Amino acid sequence: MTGKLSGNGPGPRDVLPQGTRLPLLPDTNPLTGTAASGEGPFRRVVRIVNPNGLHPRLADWFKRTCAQYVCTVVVWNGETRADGNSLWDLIGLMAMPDSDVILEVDGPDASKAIDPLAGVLGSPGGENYTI
Amino acid sequence: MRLCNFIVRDAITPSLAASAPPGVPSTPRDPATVKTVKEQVVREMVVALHAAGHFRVSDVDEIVRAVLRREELGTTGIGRHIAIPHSRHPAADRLIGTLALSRDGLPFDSLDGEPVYVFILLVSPQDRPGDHLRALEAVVRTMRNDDFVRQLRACQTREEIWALLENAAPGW
Repeated sequence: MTGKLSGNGPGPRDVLPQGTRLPLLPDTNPLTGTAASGEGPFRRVVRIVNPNGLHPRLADWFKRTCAQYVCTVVVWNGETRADGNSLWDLIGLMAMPDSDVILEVDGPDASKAIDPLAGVLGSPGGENYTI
Repeated sequence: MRLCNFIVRDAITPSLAASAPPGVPSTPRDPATVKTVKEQVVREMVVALHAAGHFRVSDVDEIVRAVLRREELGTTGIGRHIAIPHSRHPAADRLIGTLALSRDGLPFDSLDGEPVYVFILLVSPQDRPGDHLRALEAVVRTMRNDDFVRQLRACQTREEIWALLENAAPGW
């Protein structure tokens, strides 16, 4: 795993070297993202189905959900990494509609956090899309 | 995408006339002050786009309302003295935007509670979310560079701002 998993605020984005792949961890079920034991790190592939992609309001909702947990939350779009607690990072992911991102959680309550966080990321929205 | 790809040069406002109402406590989160300031800022920037040849005069009020409706759903004051008021609107046939500076800083219900000095307003067509996301990414990528923001805020004229945007390093 490359790149720091901690740190809040809009610091410089971490970008993995070209060609780097993020393997699923050995104890992670590739379909559900759940681990056999422990509190992470867990990873899950989440499709962005919101027709506006990961737009600022969705990113803000995700950030506020992250704040309910103490675990570290990282979202990867390709080789670009976002701290889940940083709105700037999340906007900078530029996650388009129908793209897949990788949600990664690690820490004491990671197993509790992964489902709600994946639910927000994969939410179809319901916002007023005319504005 | 770079800022100079979608910011309309002739609509750049080096010094906003918008200000907090006199005699009103200008605490950043005072709702009445913020509402007044947001309307002033957004209108000034949309009018600047109209004056630069974008949007019919009959569209101005509706675009202002659309941007303010978006603000009601959640502030676009994203912290670090930056705000990105934006909206989709059928009057836009492509993504366009403009940039404005406030010399004294304005209350904008920013996420970090700080006044906003740099405003970037985006108006995009309703059917191109990709362009919208690319523009937002360009804003945060550029504005997270403190040196760039410091230079930007020091600019006094439209020409200085435009030169800075054009000459910014690709990473900005």
